[in-house]
Amino acid sequence: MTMLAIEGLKVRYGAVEALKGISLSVGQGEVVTLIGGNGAGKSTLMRAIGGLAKVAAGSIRFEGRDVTGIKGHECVRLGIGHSPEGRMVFGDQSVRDNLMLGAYARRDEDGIANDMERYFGIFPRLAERQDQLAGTLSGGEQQMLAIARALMSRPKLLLLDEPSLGLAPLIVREVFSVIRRLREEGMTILLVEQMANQALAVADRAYVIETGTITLEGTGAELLRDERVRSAYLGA
Amino acid sequence: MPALAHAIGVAVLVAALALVPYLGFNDFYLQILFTIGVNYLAAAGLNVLVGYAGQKSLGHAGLFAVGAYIAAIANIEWGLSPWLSLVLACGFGAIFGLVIAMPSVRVSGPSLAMVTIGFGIVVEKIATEWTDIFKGQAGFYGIGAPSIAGTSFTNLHWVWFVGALCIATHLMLRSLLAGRYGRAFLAVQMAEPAAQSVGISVVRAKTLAFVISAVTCALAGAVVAQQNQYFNSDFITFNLSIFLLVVVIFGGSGSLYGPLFGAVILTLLDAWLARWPALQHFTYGALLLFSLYLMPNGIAGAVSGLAARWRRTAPALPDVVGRSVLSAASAAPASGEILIVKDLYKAYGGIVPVRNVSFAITAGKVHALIGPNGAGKTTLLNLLSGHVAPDGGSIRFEGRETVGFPAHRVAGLGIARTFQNLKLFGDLSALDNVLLGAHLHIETGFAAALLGLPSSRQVEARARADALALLADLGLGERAHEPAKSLPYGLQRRLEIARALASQPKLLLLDEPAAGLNPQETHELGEVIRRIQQAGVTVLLIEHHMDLVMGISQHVLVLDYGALIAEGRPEAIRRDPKVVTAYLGADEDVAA
Amino acid sequence: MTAFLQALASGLALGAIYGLIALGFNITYATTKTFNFGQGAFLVPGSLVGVSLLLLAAGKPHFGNLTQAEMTMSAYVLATIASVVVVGAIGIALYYCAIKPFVGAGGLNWVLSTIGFGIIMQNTALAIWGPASIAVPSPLGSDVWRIAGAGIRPQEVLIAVVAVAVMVGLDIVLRKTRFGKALRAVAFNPQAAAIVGINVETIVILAFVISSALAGLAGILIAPITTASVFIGLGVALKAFSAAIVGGLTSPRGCMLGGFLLGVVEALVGLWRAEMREITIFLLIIIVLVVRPSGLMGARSVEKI
Repeated sequence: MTMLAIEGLKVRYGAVEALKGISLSVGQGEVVTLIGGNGAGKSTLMRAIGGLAKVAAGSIRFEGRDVTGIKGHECVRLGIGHSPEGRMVFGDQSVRDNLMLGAYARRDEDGIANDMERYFGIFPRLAERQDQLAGTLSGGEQQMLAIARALMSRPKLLLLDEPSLGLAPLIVREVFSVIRRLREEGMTILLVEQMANQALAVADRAYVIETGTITLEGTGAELLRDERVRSAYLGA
Repeated sequence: MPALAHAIGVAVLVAALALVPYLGFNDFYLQILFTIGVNYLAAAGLNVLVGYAGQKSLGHAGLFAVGAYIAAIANIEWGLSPWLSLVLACGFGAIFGLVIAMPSVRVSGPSLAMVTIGFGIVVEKIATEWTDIFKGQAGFYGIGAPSIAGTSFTNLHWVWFVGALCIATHLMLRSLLAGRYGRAFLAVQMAEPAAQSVGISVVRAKTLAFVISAVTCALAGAVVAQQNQYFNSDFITFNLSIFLLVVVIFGGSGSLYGPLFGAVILTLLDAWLARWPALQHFTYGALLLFSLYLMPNGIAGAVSGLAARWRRTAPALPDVVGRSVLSAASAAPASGEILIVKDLYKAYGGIVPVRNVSFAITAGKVHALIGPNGAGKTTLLNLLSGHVAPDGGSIRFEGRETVGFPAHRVAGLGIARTFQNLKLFGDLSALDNVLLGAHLHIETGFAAALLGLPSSRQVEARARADALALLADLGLGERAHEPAKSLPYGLQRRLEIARALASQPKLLLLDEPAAGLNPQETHELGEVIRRIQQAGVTVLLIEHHMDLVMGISQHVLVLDYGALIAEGRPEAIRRDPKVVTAYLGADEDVAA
Repeated sequence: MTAFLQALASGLALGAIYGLIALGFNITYATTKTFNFGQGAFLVPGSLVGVSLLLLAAGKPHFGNLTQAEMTMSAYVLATIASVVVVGAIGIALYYCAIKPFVGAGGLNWVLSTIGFGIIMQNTALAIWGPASIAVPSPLGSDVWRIAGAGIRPQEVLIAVVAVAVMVGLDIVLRKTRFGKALRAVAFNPQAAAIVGINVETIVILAFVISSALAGLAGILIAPITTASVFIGLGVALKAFSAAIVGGLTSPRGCMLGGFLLGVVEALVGLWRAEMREITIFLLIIIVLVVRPSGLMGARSVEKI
């Protein structure tokens, strides 16, 4: 069953057309990755899906419902969790409060408490630092927090935007093991990444995006072997 | 406004002033004319501060008071002539302008408003409460007024006198603002980091704007005190500060004619509504609340918006032929290491975008700085250009340590830059953007610029010609007079490079110059960078378009996770396993 | 010594008022980078609405003087609630008229638009209540309390107690409750707040309601000391603004601290030479800003290039 279906999506920033008509879909339980170099439009797409960027043309349907142009805070309530580019944790609040805020749209206190314990289990370092201010965490810990915060809303679809951004290779590996675990638990994920090798390895399907257009698509394994992926990054 | 139309306008104004005696105005109307003039004087200078340098002041009543009290005290207590008192009032205005600028240029936003309000209130309280010196509410009586050939001024003379002052002020400000000073003010208002990058000292520009506004405000105060022959502390209120600001903003800040519109309309409105004080205040409230919303650029903005619909002026062509920086035959190609970076370190909280980076830049070569998103490249560039101060390490440019230099001084040494998120001076023309790039090379004295002396005009004309030549050289010649923000994106990117080149740099830092460009534009950019190199400029560029990087650079530096992980020739870098891993991720995970 | 204690008590009471209003500045500034420059005009209905209600309840015209007998504690509490509700509601109008069109646009247009809104409000109040001031008795009576030999007005004690209770309460709300955390989240990063499901505009409107309500509360608290009139607000709000700037506009605790600091300095300087009060205070502010541009407890801002 298709969970997310995007048709001909265009987004403009002033004079620049960041997305030039993107179409893609994510099925229930799938991990789909979108890879491409910097400035290709990956994050813009995520922001459009998450209700943070203004859509100029095209449509976004989530669970069969047209959600084009709805606001960011409404997306969460529909079941789209967003771990944004640059992490955007609430630096002046504790790790625990960040997670509480992740569950802002929920009212089931018991469920929230259970989930919090669950994610402290998955991210033990967050548990250790639960009373620390999020701004004092390292980059990797902030990334884990951003993912956990998005999960706290009990999303049906998780948007992961560049989780490896600016992280040391060892930490990147940790982030991907978390993604793998979420996948095993059946979470539907749309992952935007520069780290093509890892991203393709965890993905069921993948799209390559270059300057606002999708140039390749296929299963993760297919693209992993495709020379064109490599050249999209390092030049022909 | 074209020179001819301007000359006609001034002439019409002079003629109108000459005709005043034949219009049968009574003293009430003459007083209104006088008040329009005074309000214009105060607002004209304040407009330089608010509209050009972009600084709000809510305390200019204090400067008005400085002028008025000096006019009174110099004449009554010190026994100086009214003319001398008037000059002295302007001088003291300038000094107090400096005094208020000192704290003001260090703060921005609400704190700036606070400092200026505080200044206004301190002056008001001192005037009210230090009655020994300032006579409080009782005030000074019998303030001497200027006279010519023994004839004391009648109300008609006062109108003429103020009219003359207004015209002189207008002509001087017009001359000043048309050149490098006016551009520098606007640059500071539109994009401070970009202004610094072309060598403008933000502090000095703002200070100068404060002083100019202080002088005209003090002059207005002095003239009022002398015409009244009386001045007391009731004149100076917070409301006067607000009123002066409203004159500027309602009239149209940033337009040379805004203060004129504001002074005429608000003075007349004020006189007309004086019969209904409650309505008068309501009107001010409504003007403040809604005029900004309905006319963001004031009356002048609305008028010029209408005028632009039916008027298209062809810009005058320069009568000198300029020389493009790019076509300049490269001096003996420099060699050796022009820039040496050692152990550079910068941290933000738990994030360390630059950790102990060391490298050297060789003169005359094109260097590329690459690395995945978030690797710390832009932070590194900001450290090099002086826009961000490092926490540790050293940067030596041509043997000179630049750590601790503010960005405008780094620019002065010959390091120019562009910005990842374009920082053009959007409302200014492409030509003005390039002229701002050449700011440090346009050497015009303040006095020469104010008086519009031939020397300053020549320097300006020469600079314009050179700037036009550079624009033409880069294929922007056709669009030199269009506002930067209306250019297509690709040309905006190129204009930013032109601006940086106009400063005749030794080292040019380009932050993602190809971002958002299509393949054709990217290709052209490569050509431009090659020409820059041929002109003898050393280049360091951050870029993601690998084809471009590999095609034009002779040396590649790879930054990952804040650290330099590789450097060398492009072919070697492309095969370096560490680089491949940084970009594509670790290979061992693929097997997993 | 008694004079010193007396001045200290007045200073703390006045400082509590400044702190309350400054806290309101902080709350809206944190969420929108704007605040109400015309807040002084919000003190006016704060004092007059409540008092007029009591006058009407006592069967008198809406402007006149209240007797001590009519000003019982329960009457004062009712008047306070009325003031806070009415002025809080005006905050919504303020947001839509003077803030929303300019927020996020950069520049300081909001400074002028809020001053304009304040001028309109003040003149509306002038049309309703006229320029005369209304003497407002304190619910605790006018007899001076003797504490350690110093005569202290009971209303000053009431002001300090209520203001401190409200400040502590708000501090707890901001730190502990769901609403408070959401408000701080919006302040920290509105986009991040939106992606966790916080309706940013609702929070912002509530911030303006709270800020205005605090000004209303300040108005009714200070009325028994200054009398209620259309002209009480400007000076007080200006000092509150100074308090926020000195303490740090970005820090709620800084704003409260700034309030008390300013109130005490003002009272103590007044003890020495009354005419030097404003001069000292504003010079002090200018010096503080030169040394610490973001205020005593304010966060230093980093501009992204």
